[in-house]
Amino acid sequence: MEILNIKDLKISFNTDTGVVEAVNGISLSVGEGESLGLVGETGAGKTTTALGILRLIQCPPGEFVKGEIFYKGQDILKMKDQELRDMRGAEISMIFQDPMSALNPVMTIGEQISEVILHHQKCTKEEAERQMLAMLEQVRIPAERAGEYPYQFSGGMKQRVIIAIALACHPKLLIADEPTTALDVTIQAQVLEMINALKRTNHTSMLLITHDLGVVAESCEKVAIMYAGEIVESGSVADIFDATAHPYTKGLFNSIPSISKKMDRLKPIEGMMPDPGNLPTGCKFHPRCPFASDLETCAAEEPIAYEVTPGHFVRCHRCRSWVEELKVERGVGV
Amino acid sequence: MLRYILKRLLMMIPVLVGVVVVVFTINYFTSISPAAVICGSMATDEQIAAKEQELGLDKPYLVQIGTYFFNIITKGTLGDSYIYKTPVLDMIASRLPNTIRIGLCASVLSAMIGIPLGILAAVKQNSSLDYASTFLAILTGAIPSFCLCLLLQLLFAMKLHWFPISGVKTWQSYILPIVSVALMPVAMTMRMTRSAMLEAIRQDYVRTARAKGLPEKTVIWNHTLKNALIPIITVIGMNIGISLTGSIIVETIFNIPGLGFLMNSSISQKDFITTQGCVLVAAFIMTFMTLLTDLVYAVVDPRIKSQYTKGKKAGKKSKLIKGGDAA
Amino acid sequence: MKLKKSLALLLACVMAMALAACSSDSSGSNAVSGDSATGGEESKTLRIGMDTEPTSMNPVLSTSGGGAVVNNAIYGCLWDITCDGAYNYNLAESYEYTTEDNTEMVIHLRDTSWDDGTPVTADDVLFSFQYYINGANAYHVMNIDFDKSYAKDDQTVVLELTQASSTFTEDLALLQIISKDLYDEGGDDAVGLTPKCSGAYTLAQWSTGETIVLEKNTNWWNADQLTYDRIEISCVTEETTRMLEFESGEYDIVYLTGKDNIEKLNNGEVSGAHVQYGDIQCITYVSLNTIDFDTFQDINVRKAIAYGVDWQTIVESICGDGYAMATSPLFPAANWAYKDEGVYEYNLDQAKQYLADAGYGEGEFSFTMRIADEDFNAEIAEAMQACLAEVGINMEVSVGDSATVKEENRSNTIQCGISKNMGANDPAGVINARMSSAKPNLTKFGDETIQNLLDEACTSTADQATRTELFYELQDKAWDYCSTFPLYESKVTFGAVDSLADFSNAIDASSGYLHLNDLVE
Repeated sequence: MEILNIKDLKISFNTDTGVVEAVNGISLSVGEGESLGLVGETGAGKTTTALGILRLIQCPPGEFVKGEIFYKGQDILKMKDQELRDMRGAEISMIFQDPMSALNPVMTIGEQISEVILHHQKCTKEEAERQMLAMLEQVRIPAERAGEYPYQFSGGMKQRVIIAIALACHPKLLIADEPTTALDVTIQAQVLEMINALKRTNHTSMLLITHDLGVVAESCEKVAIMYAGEIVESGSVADIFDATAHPYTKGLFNSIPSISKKMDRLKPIEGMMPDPGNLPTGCKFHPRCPFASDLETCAAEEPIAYEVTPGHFVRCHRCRSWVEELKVERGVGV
Repeated sequence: MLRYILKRLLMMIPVLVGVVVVVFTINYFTSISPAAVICGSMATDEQIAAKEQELGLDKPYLVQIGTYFFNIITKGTLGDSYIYKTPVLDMIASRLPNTIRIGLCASVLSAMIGIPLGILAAVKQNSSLDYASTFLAILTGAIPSFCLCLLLQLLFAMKLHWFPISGVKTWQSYILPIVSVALMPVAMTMRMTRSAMLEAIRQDYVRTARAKGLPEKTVIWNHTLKNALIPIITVIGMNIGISLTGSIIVETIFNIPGLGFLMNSSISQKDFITTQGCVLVAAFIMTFMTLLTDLVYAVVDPRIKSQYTKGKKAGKKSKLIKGGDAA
Repeated sequence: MKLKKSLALLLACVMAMALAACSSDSSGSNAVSGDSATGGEESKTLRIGMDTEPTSMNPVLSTSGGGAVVNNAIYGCLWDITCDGAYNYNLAESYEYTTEDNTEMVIHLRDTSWDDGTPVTADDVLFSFQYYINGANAYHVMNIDFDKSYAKDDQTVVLELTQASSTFTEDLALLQIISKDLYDEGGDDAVGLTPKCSGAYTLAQWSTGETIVLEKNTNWWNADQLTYDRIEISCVTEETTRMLEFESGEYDIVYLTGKDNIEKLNNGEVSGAHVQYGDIQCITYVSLNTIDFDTFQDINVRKAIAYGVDWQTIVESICGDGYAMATSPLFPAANWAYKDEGVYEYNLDQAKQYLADAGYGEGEFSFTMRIADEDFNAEIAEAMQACLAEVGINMEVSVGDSATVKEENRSNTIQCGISKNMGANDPAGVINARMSSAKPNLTKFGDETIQNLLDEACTSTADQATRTELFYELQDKAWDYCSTFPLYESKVTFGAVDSLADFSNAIDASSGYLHLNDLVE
């Protein structure tokens, strides 16, 4: 059963200098107990997508131009305010990028965790406190520290508090927006391990946003690569890692330094991510694509998402011929 | 924390001493002799000279100022008024309650109007409500004090007879002065609240609060306002200090025997010793309010509280951290 | 947090306490009833609005004008002398000189008592006179030899004088009698704060910020003749507020100085009220400092100024109807001593001639006039400047605030200024005041003859006729000396409700304060 199903979502921001097209028609789905890794560079539109799911975007200047976001079959974009608030924190939770500023400095961490429990579960204060202490234990923070303030914790511990807040009400879907980017590598491992353990215990689905392919490999079953507000390639981890199809994804993998091979220079992708206020026509990647030989099509037409293998979608004109070949092979009509 | 409070109380003393020295020096170097004031306009030069000797006014500057401080510390007196011939401390003590009543009530009223207006303006930024409340606040702040007092007096006391015109006979006579004193700081309070709230509302933790699904009221109150309090408290603390030291204009127009009125009348009557006493009391109130404001910071923001109690708490903290919890 | 909750609670408590404290010491009722002067069967109350608060009830040590009104009401003097020379006996019944050279006087006291019932005795009178040495009015009692003076019995005082003084009875008229017993008990403070009253009214209530309440002193010998049983005096410094209170019926009489307010009343804009004028023996005059500055040494220069300014027109056009032109360089006090010298005739050519005689060409002579920003001073100075410019004299005008100019006056740094003659209802008193070393040189004469004449007039023991002659001569000489230019005779103004009859007789001629016991309906 699909927990989350995003269909053709388009989010824009209407600013004084023009319209910023942040998310341009993405579709993805997350099943029960599944983890989907949303990978992309800075500025690709990942955080906007995540915020969009919970409708935490300021509208104006933001605008949900079109698309649907189905959570357990219900369209979030059509929900009333009260339903939305009931959903946030209890059904869908979010972990934010920067733990240093995500906690309220004048409330104790215990209060901040109990707050969400009290609000959603309508239980007594003692019950909420009991649950809060249980959560603290799960994230391995000593119970005595429940009465302390955020400034008294280190970055890693703060992130663990945020995880505790997010999972306090046992949500069905956890959106983690680059949860380890602000932490150093050793803590990164700890936090990820904790998230995974909790996920397994509570059978939570996860949308993990990151720009680290290694993290994706460790924690996720499905992957979606995002570029310029679009999902350019999506599929299972095996599809993406072993059968990389899209030129951008290939470029990403090529630019990762290898431990085994000896290299003099890194191989980055040439060029830069386009300005969302000024996107290129046709395929958004074509100005940087080494394979954009057939310039006319690549520059003129926007590629649709071709299913090269079942579940493996690629948004590239080069795949059109492959798909047709495949279809011919399988004997299916175009 | 107690240590911090004691330290701050001790630090008040040099400030007060400095204030007294400045005022005393100004009085000392003006040409009018206090003895001439006491003896009146009909006195002869010999009488004035005799009086000067009696009061010790012919002694050098340092001796005079030293005697003044000595009297404060040992006898607890601020001297006797040249005009009224009664102890300055008694005169101030009989007038101070009126000023404090008006000052406190006005500050509370001004905060009660200014803070909600500011919150409203911040939450509904750039809406008509924002503009309307900003307009209202600045309007009341821009009207000069005496103008406001006269308007209120003419409308509510003269025409409508709801309140007495002047004096302090009944509790109703306090209402118009309280309103006059309250309306002026409303603009500052409201603007400060608005800007502090606007800054707090953009913070990440407010987004976290919303992501928790909390009702908007809780988000504004517990998460935004509590973090916006520091600048608001600063402004309110300052306003209370200023209101408590007596608004001269309000007290003169409404004929309220208060500290401001006494300060003003003692200056025009050349009763400098009373002026000195009033200034000292006013300075004390202001520095005390500053201390209170700083203490309230500690209540509101735990980070500041830990700064005040630094040194003591560091020891306790190290005991709590158990081994293995490196992060 | 608990701390925050307790803080909020504390704040609420403080506010509640403050409001409760407001009401606890109030009388609870709004005293706006207007049936004082008009109705009221049993006790008649008069409500007065004054400007300055009294600082002390001690008539010797008190230096504020605000206390004078109250002191006049609560203390009695021996007698009161009118402008025409008639004696109104108060605490004394009669007096007589018992020796030829007028160095011994016997005073017979009336059988009357203080407000607490104890009798007013000769000891009280002697003590009071001696007490006055401590204060500013010491010169009134300078001539009394206290070793030789004594109380013959409770009702009789025998005074020995070191030298006779023709103004002695006038001096005594101003001295208020205070209680010796009270002073023995409590000293200066007792007399200042909780006085025993020998006058028409007693001090029933006096505290800061509250109304002063005077009640009829039933122990006063003439209490039956008093119209009002109770007088309430409110002190409001700010005239706007005072006027508002009067307009809304809070006062029956209000002390006014603002020209707008007086005009308002005269135009009938306040129903049921009018302006009450009072003559006070106060002339305002321009004077030249002939002692400290050489500028005015030459009589021709002074004459140039005297005849080069159109004094009459200036006073009439600037001051308006309420003010009469003053015609004596010294004072209008006491009818028997006053000589009408007329007005300096305005003659431009003559003035120019005087200037030329003094040796100054056009525009060569200049001086500075320093005035306080009050009354009509600024306008008069401006007009003078214009007149003198035509004569060819440059007069600079410098305006300052009252206190500063007063101080400069005391230190004798003012060349030319506007002064007022106030304070005494006897001519010698007026002159004594000007003579006193405490007085600025601006008001004195740089001529020795005149100074000697002043001395003689004040200490003269001769009879009335001789004294009158002396004073006339004095005024003539002062007139010719041309250093004092009289301007106008001032009036004091009050707002009064229509139900009150004209009370100009109750206004003290020298100071302008109200004699409360003389107020009738």
